[in-house]
Amino acid sequence: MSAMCTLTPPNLELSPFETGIQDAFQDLATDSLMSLRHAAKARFEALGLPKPRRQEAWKYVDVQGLSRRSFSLPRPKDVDEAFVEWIYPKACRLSMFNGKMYNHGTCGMVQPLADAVIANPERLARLTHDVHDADDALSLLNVALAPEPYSLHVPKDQAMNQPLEVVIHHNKASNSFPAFYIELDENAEATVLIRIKGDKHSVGSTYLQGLIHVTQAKGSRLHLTVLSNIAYAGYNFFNTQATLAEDAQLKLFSTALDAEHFRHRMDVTLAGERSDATLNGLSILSGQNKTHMHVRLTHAVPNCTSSQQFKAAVGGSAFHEFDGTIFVLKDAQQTDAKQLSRNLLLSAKAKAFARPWLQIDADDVKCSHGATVGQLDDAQLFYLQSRGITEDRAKALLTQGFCDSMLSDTHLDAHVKRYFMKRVHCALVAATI
Amino acid sequence: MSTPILQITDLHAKVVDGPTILNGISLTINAGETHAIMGPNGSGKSTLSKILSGHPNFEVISGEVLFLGQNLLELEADERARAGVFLAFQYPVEIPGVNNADFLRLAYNAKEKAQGREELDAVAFKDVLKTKLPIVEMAEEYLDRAVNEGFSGGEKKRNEILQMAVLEPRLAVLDETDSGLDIDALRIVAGGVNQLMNPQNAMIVVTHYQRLLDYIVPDVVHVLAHGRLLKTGDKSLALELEKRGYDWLLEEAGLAV
Repeated sequence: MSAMCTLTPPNLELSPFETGIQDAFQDLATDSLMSLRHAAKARFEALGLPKPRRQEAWKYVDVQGLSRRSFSLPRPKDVDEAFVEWIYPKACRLSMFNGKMYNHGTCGMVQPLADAVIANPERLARLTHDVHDADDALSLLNVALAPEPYSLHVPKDQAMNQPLEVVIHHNKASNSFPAFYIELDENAEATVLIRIKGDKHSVGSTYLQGLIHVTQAKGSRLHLTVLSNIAYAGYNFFNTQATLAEDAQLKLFSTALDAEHFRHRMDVTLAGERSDATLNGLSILSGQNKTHMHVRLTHAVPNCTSSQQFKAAVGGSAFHEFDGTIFVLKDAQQTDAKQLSRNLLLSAKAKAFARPWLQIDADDVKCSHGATVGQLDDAQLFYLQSRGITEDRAKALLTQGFCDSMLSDTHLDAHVKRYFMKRVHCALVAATI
Repeated sequence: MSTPILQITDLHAKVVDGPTILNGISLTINAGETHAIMGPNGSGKSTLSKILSGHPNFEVISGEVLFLGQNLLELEADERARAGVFLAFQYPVEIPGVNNADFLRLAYNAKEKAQGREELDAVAFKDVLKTKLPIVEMAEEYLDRAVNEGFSGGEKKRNEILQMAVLEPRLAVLDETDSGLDIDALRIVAGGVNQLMNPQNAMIVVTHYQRLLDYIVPDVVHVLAHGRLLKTGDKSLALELEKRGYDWLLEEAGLAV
């Protein structure tokens, strides 16, 4: 029983997953991103696969299960236009079908990163430099292997006149590496929605390792929403890495609805004074779902504000983890940082871990964090029942309210909100069965 | 002879896994009557309200409660509400994420359905609500907010009476509805309650202070202390309590410290 405790010699044999990575590394794409890809490969090899027993950030993530599956790059296949359903009536549209990216429209600000860096070698140098400091090994797989990373670049003083909407879809087992590099110049504005769409007819398990790399110049504003709505077996891991210059503003909303394995690691650095980040998350879990919201938020300079609120409604025998650290560096005086993790357990076997951390090296700051894990509030339940509402209905209403309040607190636009409401409801029905 | 709405006979009750609070209460309330229940802190006033509404933290040891001739104690809280019992909470509960208008409609429809009537859709119900809002001088914007969330003390109490107006109970129990209200809010809330009284329904007003009874005039005043009704009288009893306090009554009953 105590396999964990027996001293076995280290297994030198590589897992099929690791062998697959090695094979893929032999054959890196030879595009204009080559230097970036090779830097990522080297950094990955230095770090190795995440080690849950030794690395706090991976403690509860099912890396073992992931490393047992085979690793093979998808074969490009034509997009099936019929599957795509868009939320925005008008948008710059990208889709990824079984690992291959398609650009559906003509949107000047969106193009393959490989093309974008030809005119802007400085950008490539910056991205390559970032890779040397990366500590999240799996994100490096994306950087090295993404078949076609895309770039969104909004020039100075411009706003996208429509959002960028991305749909990622799989109907068979494969690996996929969607990658988006968002660059907002001074005072630029953009709205981006990335949606992972499930397919109940799919077979086998997918490994998706997505990357959203954000560079925001002075005074720029970004609304970024990631929705993972998955009804099939698979690992869906996302990394968002954002750096904000002065007066820049980021609003990030991450949602995992009925996702089997989901991890979103958000690294946000407030690098310019008066920059502001709002990070929100909503997870609804059922069955054996495992989701992880991991935040590393760094206040590097004075006078910045940040706010995090993550909620999870956990049903079945599912497991949710929030792990969020706020770093306030020595110079970051007058920091105002808030963090809240609220977890609602819907069944006796559901589990939620909230792990809030603060590391403060400045002495004049305002930081607050809070975490709750609990069941529905008895006083609220009785109040509804005392108005003639049955217990079951009251529970459903309160659970829905717990999630809906997250949607109304965040600044989602009406299209996305409507889409969410419906799916939140469906996910809750699954979670409360 | 008027119809009895509520008949309580020798009711003993306790906190679940806790002390006994009510030590034998009997009273009858007929249609068209308003009864005030007064008493010092810890006398059992709020417990009685909660027992009547079916709060799970309290349990009946013995005794009988009939509502319109039906055994009230065998009904769950939601069944009691649908049968026509309403409790206006001393501390109304905030419910983030649940829209006030949706909540009111759900409650309304639950009752309509139970009584064999047609449920209303959101549009039709809005018309019903519009006729109720003036009763508590409430602006329509409160309907679009989450239930009681961020409401002031007075707004919460007005929202309670709005619910009462929507549900049209046969028995309303007002648990210290006057607590935390300023004079203007008290006037509005009491005015709302008075508009809702009619010869077919009945009301219990639980209060510490005579002040509320200037607005909601009771037919009968009971004094509750140590879980028992020490004295029953007309509205002049409340005025006497205001002047003399409760000690003389406790002494009369041999309960003075």
